[in-house]
Amino acid sequence: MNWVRHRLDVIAPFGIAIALFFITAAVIPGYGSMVSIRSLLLLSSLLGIASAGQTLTIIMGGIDLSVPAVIGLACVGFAVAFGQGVSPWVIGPIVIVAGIIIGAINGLISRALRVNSLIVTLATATIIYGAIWAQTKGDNRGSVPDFVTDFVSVIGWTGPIPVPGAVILWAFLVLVFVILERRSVLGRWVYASGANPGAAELAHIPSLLLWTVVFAISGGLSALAGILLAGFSSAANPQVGDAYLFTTLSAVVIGGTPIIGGRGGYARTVAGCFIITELTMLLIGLGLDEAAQQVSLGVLIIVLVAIYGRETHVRMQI
Amino acid sequence: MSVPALKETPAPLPSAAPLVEFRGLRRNFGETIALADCSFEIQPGEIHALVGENGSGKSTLIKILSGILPESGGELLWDGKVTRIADPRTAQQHGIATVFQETLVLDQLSVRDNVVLGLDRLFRRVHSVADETKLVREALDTIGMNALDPAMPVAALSLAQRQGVTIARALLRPWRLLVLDESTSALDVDARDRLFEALRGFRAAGRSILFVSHRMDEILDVADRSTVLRSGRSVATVTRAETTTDGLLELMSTHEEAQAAEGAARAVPNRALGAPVIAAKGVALLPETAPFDLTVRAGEIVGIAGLEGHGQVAFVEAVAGLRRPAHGAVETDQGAITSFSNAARAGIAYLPRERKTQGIFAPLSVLDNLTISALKRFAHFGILAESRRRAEGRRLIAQSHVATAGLGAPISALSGGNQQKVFLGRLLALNPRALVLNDPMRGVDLGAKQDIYKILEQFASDGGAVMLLSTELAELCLLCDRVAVFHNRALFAVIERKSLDVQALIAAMFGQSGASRGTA
Amino acid sequence: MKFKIDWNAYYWPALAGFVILFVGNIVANPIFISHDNWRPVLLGAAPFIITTWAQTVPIMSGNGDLDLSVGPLAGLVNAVMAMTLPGLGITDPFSMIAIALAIGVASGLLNGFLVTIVRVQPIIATLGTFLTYQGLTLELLPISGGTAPPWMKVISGNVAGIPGVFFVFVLIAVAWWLLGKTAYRRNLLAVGGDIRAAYTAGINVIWVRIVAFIVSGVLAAITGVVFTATIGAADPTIGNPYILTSIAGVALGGVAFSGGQGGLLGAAAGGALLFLIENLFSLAQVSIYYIQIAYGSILLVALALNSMVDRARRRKAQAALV
Repeated sequence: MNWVRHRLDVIAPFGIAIALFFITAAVIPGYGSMVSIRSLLLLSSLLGIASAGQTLTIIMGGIDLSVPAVIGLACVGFAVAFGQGVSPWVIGPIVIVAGIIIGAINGLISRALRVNSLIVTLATATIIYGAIWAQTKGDNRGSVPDFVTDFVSVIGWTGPIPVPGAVILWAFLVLVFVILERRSVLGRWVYASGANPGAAELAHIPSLLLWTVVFAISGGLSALAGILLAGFSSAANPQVGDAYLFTTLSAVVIGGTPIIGGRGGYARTVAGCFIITELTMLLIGLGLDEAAQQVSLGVLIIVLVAIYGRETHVRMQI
Repeated sequence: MSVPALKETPAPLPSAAPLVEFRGLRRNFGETIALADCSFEIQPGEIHALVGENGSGKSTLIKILSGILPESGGELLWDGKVTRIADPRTAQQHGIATVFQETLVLDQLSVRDNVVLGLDRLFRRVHSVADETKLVREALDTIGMNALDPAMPVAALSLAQRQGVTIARALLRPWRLLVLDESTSALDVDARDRLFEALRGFRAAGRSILFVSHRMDEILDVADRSTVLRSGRSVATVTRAETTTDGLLELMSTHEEAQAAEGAARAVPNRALGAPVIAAKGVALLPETAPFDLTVRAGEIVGIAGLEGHGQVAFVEAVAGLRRPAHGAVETDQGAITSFSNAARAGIAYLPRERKTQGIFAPLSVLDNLTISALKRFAHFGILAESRRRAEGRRLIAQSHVATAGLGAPISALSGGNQQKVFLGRLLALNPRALVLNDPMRGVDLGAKQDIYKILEQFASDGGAVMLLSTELAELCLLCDRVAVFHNRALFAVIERKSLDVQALIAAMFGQSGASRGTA
Repeated sequence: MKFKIDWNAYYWPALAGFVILFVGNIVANPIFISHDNWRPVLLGAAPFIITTWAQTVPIMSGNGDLDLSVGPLAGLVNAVMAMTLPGLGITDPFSMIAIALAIGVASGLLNGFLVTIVRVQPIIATLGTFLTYQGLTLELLPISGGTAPPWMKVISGNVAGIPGVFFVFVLIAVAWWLLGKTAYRRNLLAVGGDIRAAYTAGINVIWVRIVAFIVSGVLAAITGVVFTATIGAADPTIGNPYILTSIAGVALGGVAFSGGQGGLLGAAAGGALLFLIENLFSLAQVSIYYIQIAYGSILLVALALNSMVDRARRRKAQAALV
C-alpha cells in the first residue's frame, strides 16, 4: 500500500486513463466499439505527437507556446502548396524543416537572452500567425494528398494492423523518446538542466546548444502534427492547432510532469494524452455544445491536476 | 574563535521552569525518519548549543520549532504548555525568532525592507519608515554592522553582510528564544565575536538562545549547555564544565567515525612537487588593487584564506574562469584562462560554494550526478553505454567514499556530506589536473569532512594540484602545504607549512605585519 | 519632502519607448493630439493599458504566477453588462459596477484559490479558467449583440471636455498608489522575490498571492466595462487578443517575469506602446496581419534590450563586488 502511495504520481494517470475508458463505455452506447477505440487511438496519437516536444521542453525548464502556431503554419503551408501542385515529398520536408528552424530560434533566443521561453514562444507564435494571415489573406484553399488522409483516417490500416499509420508512428515516437530521455546524453542533460539550471552551466552542460536542439525537436514535431492535422481535416486551416495549446500543456501536466522541470517523462504524457482525448470524447458523447465542452474541459483538467499534479508547499522548499 | 573560553561566570542552571521542552519529538518523511526521539529543554537565560552531524536531525528540529514543519509525534512544550506551532508567523507570535542556515534575503529590496520583513500585516504597516530605519540601525549595530546603509539594496551586499541582515531580521522580532542555525558560517571573525558578545548580553537579560554550529571552538566559546543529536535522537545534554571537543565528538559520532577522526591527526605526507599547474601572474582583482603572483604545483595543496569580502573568492573564481581579473592573468600550460570552458579544457575542475543552487541536481540519481559532466565519454552517437557508465559510477563512489543505497537512488536522499562527496566525485570524473574548491566543507558533517580530506590528499599524492578556499582555519592548517592569505582585495601573505597555525592565519587575515609577507 | 529621481528604475526604457512612439504618432498624423482625438485615443488605449496592469500584479508576485484569464474575463464581463443584466432589467450604474467588480473579485479569488491552496500551476489554472470563462461567455452570448446602458456614455464620452475614460485611469492609479502606501506592496515584492524568505519572515504568502489575483480580476472586469462603453454592445471574442498584449505589455514595461520587481508605471507605458504601434500601423493603412508580426518582433527586441541592459548592470555590480 505504501508503494502505491509513493508512486501515486506515476500510477494515477494510467489508472485514470483506464478508468475513464470504462466509465465512458458505460455511459455512452457504442463507445466500446472498434471504431471508437480506433478514433481514441488516432486522436490521442495526434495529441501525443504534438505534446512530445512540449514534454521535453518542460522537463528542461522551458515551455513552448508556439506549438499551435507551428501546427497552423505547417497545416496551411502543406495544404496550400499541395493544392498548387507542389509534390508532397518536397513541401513536407520543407514544412518540417521550417518548424525545426522556428523551434531552434525559440530555444536560441530564450537561452541566449536568458528570458522566459514562455514570452519568447508567445512572441514567435504571434509572428507566425501574423505571417500566415498576411501571406494567405484569409484565402486558405488547399488540398491534401490521399496518402496523408489515409494515414490519419479512423478506418485506416497499417499493413495488417487495423489502426491508421499515425498510431504506429506515435508508438514508434514513444519508444524513441523513452530511449532518448533515459539512455542518451541529450536526455540526461535535459533533466539536469531542468532540475537545476544554475548548476547545469557549472557542470559543463552546453545549455545554448541543448535549448536550441530541444526546441528544434518541439518545432519539428509540431510541424509534423500540423501536416497530419491537414490530412485529418482535409483543409488548410491556420486555426487547426489552437486547441493544442491547452491540451498539450494539460497532457504533459496531467501525465505527471511538473511545469517546473527536472522530473517526469514522455511515457507519462502518453497517459495524459489518453485522458484528455477520452474526456473530450466523453463530453461530445454526452451531447454538450462547444461552449459547454470548453467549460467542462477547463474544470475537469484543473480537477485532475489538483488530484495529483499539485505543486509543493513552500514549507517543503526550505 | 580568538576569544578564550570560560572567561565569565556561567549562567545559573537549571533554575525556573524551562522555556521550551521537547518530549520525544519525532518527524518522518514517508519512510525516512529525520527525527526519531528528541528530548531536552532550554532554560530562560541560557545559550544552548545543538550539535550533531548533518542528517542527525538538527535542521528538522529547528524547522518544527520555527513552524515550518509539523511534528509527526511527541510533544513540544512552550512555557510549560503543549504547543503545536502552525507556521513561521505563529512561531514569531510565541517569541521564537529563527535565523536559517540559508541566507534568505531579497536582492531587489533594501536592507531596511529585508530586516523588517514580515513585521507588517497583509495591508497594515506596523512602523513608519523613520521608525523602521531607526530599528534597523539598532539591530545592525548589535552585530557591528552599523556601517550598512538601510536604504542600500541587498543585491550589493557580500555574503557576510547578507547573513548579518538575516540575523538583524531575527533580532528585531520581540523574541524570547533566538534560534541560530549555522548562521554564523559566513561571518568573519570580527562580526562573529560581536555577535557572541551580544548573545551574552541577551542571556544576562534572561533571554534564551538555541545555537547550532559545526565549529567546536564556537560551542566551547558561548554555550552554557550542549545537546548532542545522533541519528535523530538526543543522546546527551552536557553542561559547560563537562564540555570538551573530544567529548562532544565522541557523543556525535558513531564508532567508525571516531576512529576516522583519530586518523585525521596524522602528519601530512611528503608529496613530490611537480611542475606548476596554475600560475597567477601579476593578477590585480580591481584596477586599483595591488598585483600579485601565486603558483600551485602538481602534488600541492594550497589553501586560500581571508576575511569575507577581501578578494579571495574573486580570485578563486578568476582561476575557474568565471571572472576576469582587472590586470594580469591566471595561466596554465594551455595559456591564459579566459573563460569557464577554457579553464576546464586546461584541466581545472571547479567546485562552487553553494551546493544546493550551484551543485547538485536534486531529482536526479547519484549516478547521473556523478557522471553528468563526463557523459560524452560513455556515449556512442549520443546514446549512453550504461554498463560502462555504471562501472565508472561505482569507481567514483569508492574513490569519493560516498555512502549510498545505490547508484540509482536520488541524490536528495543522501545527507549533505554525502551529496558534497558526490559533487567532488563529479569533478574527479573529469580527470582534472587541478581541483579548485570554493569552501567545500561548508555545512558538511565531521565524518564527511574526514572523507573529503582523504580525497584531497589522495588526489594530490597522485600528482594533482589543489586550490582550497576554506573559512575553517584549523582545516587549512591540517591539509595545506601553503596558505595564501588575502587582505584588502589582494594577496597579503603566503604562509608556509612550517609556520602554519591558526594564530598566524588570523594575524595575516587582519593584515598584521607580523606575518611573513611574500609571494611564491 | 525630498524627491529623488531613481535613474536605475526599471521603467525608464519603457517610458523612453513610449515618448518616441508618441512623437512618432504626432509626426505621422498631427491630428493625433488634437482635442477631438483624445477620446478615441484613450478609449483605444484603455484595454491595452488596463489588461497589462491586470497582468502585471500577479507577475510581480512571482512563483510562475500569471493570469491568462484576463482577456476572457473582460469578455465575460462585457457579455454580462450588455446582455445579461439589461435582460434582467438591471441598468443602474451602481448595481452594474458593483456586479462587474464582484465578478472580478470572484475570479481573482478562484484563480488565487486554485494557485495557492489547491496549488495547481498558475499557467494551467488560469488556462482552465480561461476556457471556462470563454465557454460561459458563449453560453450567455452566442453571437454579438446586446446594448450598453445609457450611463456608460460617461465613460465613452467627454466629461467637462475630458474623456470619461481618463477618470477610469486616474481612479485605478490612485487606488494602486494607496495600495502602495500600505504594507501590501512590500509584501508583494517579497513574495515575488523569494517566497521562502517571505514565508520564514512571517508573511502570509497565500493571501499576498490571492490578493494579487483579485487585483488582476478587478482590473480585467473594469476592462470589460470599458469594452461595453466603447462598442456599445457585447462581442464574445472581444477579450481574446488581450491575453497576448497583456503579457507583451508587461515585458515591454520592463517588469521582470521572475517576479519581485516592477510596477504599474512601466506596465502602463508597455501597454500604451502596443496601442501606439497599432495606431501607427492603421495610420499607414497596413494590413491588420502585419500588426501581429510587429507585436511579436517588438516584443523580441524589447526582450533583447532588457536582457542586455540587465546583463551590463549585473556585470558592473559583480565586478565591483570583489
